[in-house]
Formats: sequence, structure tokens, C-alpha cells
Amino acid sequence: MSDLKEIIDPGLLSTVTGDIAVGLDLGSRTGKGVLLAGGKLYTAITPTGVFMQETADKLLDKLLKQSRVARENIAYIVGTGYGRIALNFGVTGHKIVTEISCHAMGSHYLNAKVRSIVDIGGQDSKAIRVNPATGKVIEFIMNDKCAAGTGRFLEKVAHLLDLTLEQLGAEALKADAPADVSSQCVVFAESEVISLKAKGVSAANIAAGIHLATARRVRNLVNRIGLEPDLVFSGGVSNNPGMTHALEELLGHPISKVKLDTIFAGALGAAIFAQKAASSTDEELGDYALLKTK
Amino acid sequence: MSTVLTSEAQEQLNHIRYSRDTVHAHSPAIQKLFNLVIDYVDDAEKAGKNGTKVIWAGVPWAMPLIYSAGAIPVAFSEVGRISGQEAITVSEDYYQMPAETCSMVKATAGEWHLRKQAGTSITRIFGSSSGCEPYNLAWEVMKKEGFDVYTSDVVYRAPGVEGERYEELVRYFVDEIHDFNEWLTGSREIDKESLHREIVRKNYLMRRMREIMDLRLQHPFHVKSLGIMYLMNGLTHYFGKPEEYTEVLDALVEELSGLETDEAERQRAIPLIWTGGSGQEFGIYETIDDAGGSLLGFVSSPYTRDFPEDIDPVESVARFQLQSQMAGASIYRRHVIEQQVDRIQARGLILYGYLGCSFGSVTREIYRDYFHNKGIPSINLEGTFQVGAPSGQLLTRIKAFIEMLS
Repeated sequence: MSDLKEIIDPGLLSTVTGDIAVGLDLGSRTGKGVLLAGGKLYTAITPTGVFMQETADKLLDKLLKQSRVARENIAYIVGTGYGRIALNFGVTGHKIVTEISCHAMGSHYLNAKVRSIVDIGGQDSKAIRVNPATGKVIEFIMNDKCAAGTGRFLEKVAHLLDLTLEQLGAEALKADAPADVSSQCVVFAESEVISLKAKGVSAANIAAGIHLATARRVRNLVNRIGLEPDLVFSGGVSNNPGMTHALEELLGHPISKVKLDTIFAGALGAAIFAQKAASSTDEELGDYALLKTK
Repeated sequence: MSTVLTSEAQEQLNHIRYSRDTVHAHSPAIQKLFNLVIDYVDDAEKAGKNGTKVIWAGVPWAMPLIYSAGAIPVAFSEVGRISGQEAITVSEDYYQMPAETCSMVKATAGEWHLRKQAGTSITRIFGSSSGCEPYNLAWEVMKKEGFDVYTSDVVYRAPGVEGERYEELVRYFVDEIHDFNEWLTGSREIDKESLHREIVRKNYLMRRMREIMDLRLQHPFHVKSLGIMYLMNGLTHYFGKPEEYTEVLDALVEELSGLETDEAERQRAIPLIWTGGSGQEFGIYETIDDAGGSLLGFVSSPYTRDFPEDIDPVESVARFQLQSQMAGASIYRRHVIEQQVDRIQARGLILYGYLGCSFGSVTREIYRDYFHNKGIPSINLEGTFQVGAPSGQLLTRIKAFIEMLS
């Protein structure tokens, strides 16, 4: 639990209403939740299960327990992420918004100057350009049909190196000569990692090489839409220090420090959308027409 | 033979029925359209069995000529709707086509193979040559399978080709049309009276389509995305039944003309242009509708200008093609997209192509850049030619794109 004024960009604090709002981001690997109530921000995280609704309900329970808010007092819920499609919250007002819009809005509320976002999740990566006046998406690009440049790819490599995903990023920072990993395809990269291991290349150098290879893939995405400061790194991979380092090195641009773990950026954006939906009529939504009910 | 559908294609058929019976329950015209869609290939097969000349045809310019010869064209686009992974497996395993081969080529070749095994009555294929290397490979394979395959050369109009060079292209094209007629009917002589009648019919239908597209600006959600996609597809081949397709367009004009304008609906619609092939992953269309998008512009089958009626009909076919978006260079299609952007005040473009089509992907990038610089955002989608569920990521991209425009 944190005070909103410690987390939200001071320039936007006045736009946060008193409505109790929930954002749930059902990612392919983890579900994240944010609840806004009484000037406080509550977060919850849980592994994504087979049934999305169960994961969403579990997140909601955690948030309600933490905040001591009664379920019936929630004004609005916005669901987002890979598992958003099937979500239903009965009588509570709710809407589904894509993670692309939510990551943009969440990052905007963490740093109102943000113009570019790199979002790396479990199964895809995205580069997003944001309008700093509204938090709306101006342009985005997303990899699909391929696990390269995603958390799943890093997970696979961690497994090959006998490391946990959490250890992989830290290990990469110990590298003295990052290995040259040319393959972007997960299948080929696996063979490459095995052959590097056979040559006696250290786990740290292989890990660093893998992070650089993944970052190159993401850089290609970013280059397609152009990079403008400030830059926020969000999504499940954003708290991997090895990836942060590789991205900063390849993009030649620092990643903005914000006051919330940006794994929650999508859920925060969803909660902000939920507040806007709760406090506005369709006619009042203006820039946020995507929340219209009719 | 009656088409035997794989479970995925059956699911697609159910989607069409759902669109007919539920989504378009308010529109008898679109319901009739979907009936034509559903019966197209099976009825063509029956017609073939009963002695009518029926051919697989993947060349839009030839459709009026095929009808003028008393034959029925079955468009390649329909092969996509009835074929699934089984057809792809045939192409990849039996014909050893590399996995990265264009999904349209794999789906059509595989489906024809399966249909041949099942005793199809449609054993003649008319395609185009020199435009697409993977299809040239497919033509050779189909000949070996016992199909009678004919390909006509692609007459390509490069940017800025005018004057005598343009007239040369017309003459060459006219010659190609006669060659095709010889394959189709056994004679280079074309029944010009009959072709003229088909041109007059086509012009009438294109005018009707223009009326429909104008009326849709006032009623953007009356015909949903899947409906408009099939309406446009039908403008090329009439689903094998020109009179019935004409009735559909007439009825739809009447339907739309009788509606009261709903200003709120008009304001809510996000005007989009679809350009490129037809997506067979129908979930894409549903997502566009659900997100508040409306395909008010469509750049697929030409309909914005008429065939000349006061010249030799064969020459008219050639000139129409060479002055349309299908003339050759991508700039000709781009002009039409630009006109549509202005006409509907488009907020975004959907550029759609098939996986593995390198030609299409280059063109889409050219359009993306060009329109981006003019302030028109676009989304570049690649899907399979054969049926299949769209990936969640593809649907996310579409929904996010429309959210971005809202």
C-alpha cells in the first residue's frame, strides 16, 4: 500500500478522483491488480492460472483484504491483458481495455512527461508512443506470432543456464565479455546457448548476450515508431536489471525511474481508466471515448 | 459434390450463419447475401455436374468475360473460406512446399488436391502468371494432378505510363483476353454483344455499390464488417448468381434509404478503410465491430468508376483494368485509398495481407509510410488465407488501434 501522492506524477494528482476503482491486468504469466481508494494505491500479484476469471477473482480478493474495501463499494473495474477477454464482474460496472492503452495510461500517470514505452511481457513485446497531454496512445507496434524478445524467451534461457528467471538478469550484469548470440528464434537460440556452454562461455556472458539479443529485437520495434524521451520500461520483464541495462545500452537512452514497480503499469492504467469511467458520463469522456458504454 | 468441410471451416460457416441470423437479423438483404455466400461453391459444383462450364478463377478482370461465355467463375477467395489446416498439410507434406510459402498458395493448392480426390466437377483453373512465383509453382503441380490450368500474363502498368506506351499495354492486354477466351470456349472470337451486356450489368452493380457506400456514411453500423467484406467480394464474382446478387444490392439500397439517420450512431462510428485481401479469420471483423470501428471505405474490388460502354467491350475490359487500382504499380491503389480517405474522413487504415506474401508486405509498408506522413495512422495485419482463429495478439492489436483512434 502506498500514498497516491508518493506514486502519481504531481501534475496529474488532481485528476485522480475519490472513486474506488480497480484495474486488473491478466498477463500470460502473472496477473497484476491495482486498487485506488481513499488516496491510497494497493497492489496485488499472482501467477496466472488456467482460468482467467479465477485469477482475476483471486487478485480482487487480495486487493479487498489489503484495503478493507467492501466489494459492493467498488465503483468500477477495468480488465486488461492477455486474459481480459472472458472477464466478468457481475453487477459491478466494468469494461475491457487493451493492455496497450492501459500501459500508456499507467506510465503517463507515473511520469506525465513520458512519450515512449517499451513493454515486455510474457508472450509479446511492444513499443508505444504516448501523447503526454492525455496519456493516449499515438502509435504502437507489437511483435506477434513469435516468442523472440519476450519474457518467455528469457525464461527458456534461464532454464538452460540452470538459473531462475529472477537470477538471469542479475547474472547478466556480472558479464565481462557478453557472448555474441545471433539467433532471435527461441528454437535456434537454444542450440546456440547449448553450444556456448559447451565452449565454456560463462553463464554471465551468455545471459548478457541473450539480453542484448532480446534488446536488439525490441530496439527494432522502437525504431519503427521513433523514440522520444521520457522512456518508461513496463511489463513483466521490466524488473529484470539485465534487460534494463541492455535496453539502455542499445537504445542509448536512460529509462525513467518511477515510484512504482512498472510491472504494475498496466494494472494502474486500467485502474485510472476505471476511475474515469466511474466519474464521467459518455458525453463527458472526451479524450477517453474508448470507455463509452454506448 | 457437396463440400466436405473441416471442423475449422465448419466453425467459419457457423460464424457466417451467426452473422446472418443474429448480427444481421435486421437486414433481409444481408441475410440473402450470406445465403449466396454459403451456397456458392456447392451450387457451382452442382452446375458443373449438370454440364455448365465452371472454372476456378483468380483473375478479377476476367469475370464479366466468363459470364458472357455462359460459364460460372468460382473465385479463389472462396477456397480460403472452405479450406483449413488439412489443405495446408497437403501442400507442405505431399507437395513439399516450404512452410514459409504464401498461405494463399498452400491453401488453394491443398484444397484443389483434396477436391480432386473427392471427385470435384470443377477441374479447370484460370490464374495469372508472372506476378507470383509461388503460384507458378502451384500451377505446375495442379497440372500434374490432372487439372486443366491456364494462366494469362499480368499486364503491369508502371507508375507514370501514359501515351503510346499505355496504348501498347492496352493492345497487349486485349490480345491476352482473346487468348484466355480461346482456352475458355475453344475460340478466340468473343461474343461482344454478350460481353457488352455483362459490362452494363457490372456498371449497374458498381453504381449500386457506390450508393450503398454513400448511404452507409449515414448508417455506419447497419451492415457490419463481415457483411461489407462479402458484399465487396461479391462485386467481383456475384457468387455465381448475377441476378440474385443484383437483387441483394437493390434490396440493400432500398433498406438503407428507408432508415432514419441516427446522429449518435454516426458520431460513434470510427471510420476505417480496409485495403488488401479478405481476412478469413472472422474474429477480426467482430473485433472491429465491437470496438466501434466501421469499414466505410473498402479498397479491394474496384467500384469507384465505370467501364467505358461506348467502345469495343474487349478494349473496355482492358482499359478499365489499366485505369483501376489493379493496374499494376502500388501508386494506382494508393490514389484510390487517398480518395476514400477524403470521402469518408477516415481516421485509420487497415492494411491486410496473407502470411508469406512478400509482394503484399512490401506494398503495405509503402502505404504505411506514405499515409503516416500524411497523418493517417494504419495497422498492418497479416493473417492466414485459410480459415483459422485469429491469434489473441492480432485481436489485441486491432482493438488497441481502434482505442487509439477513439
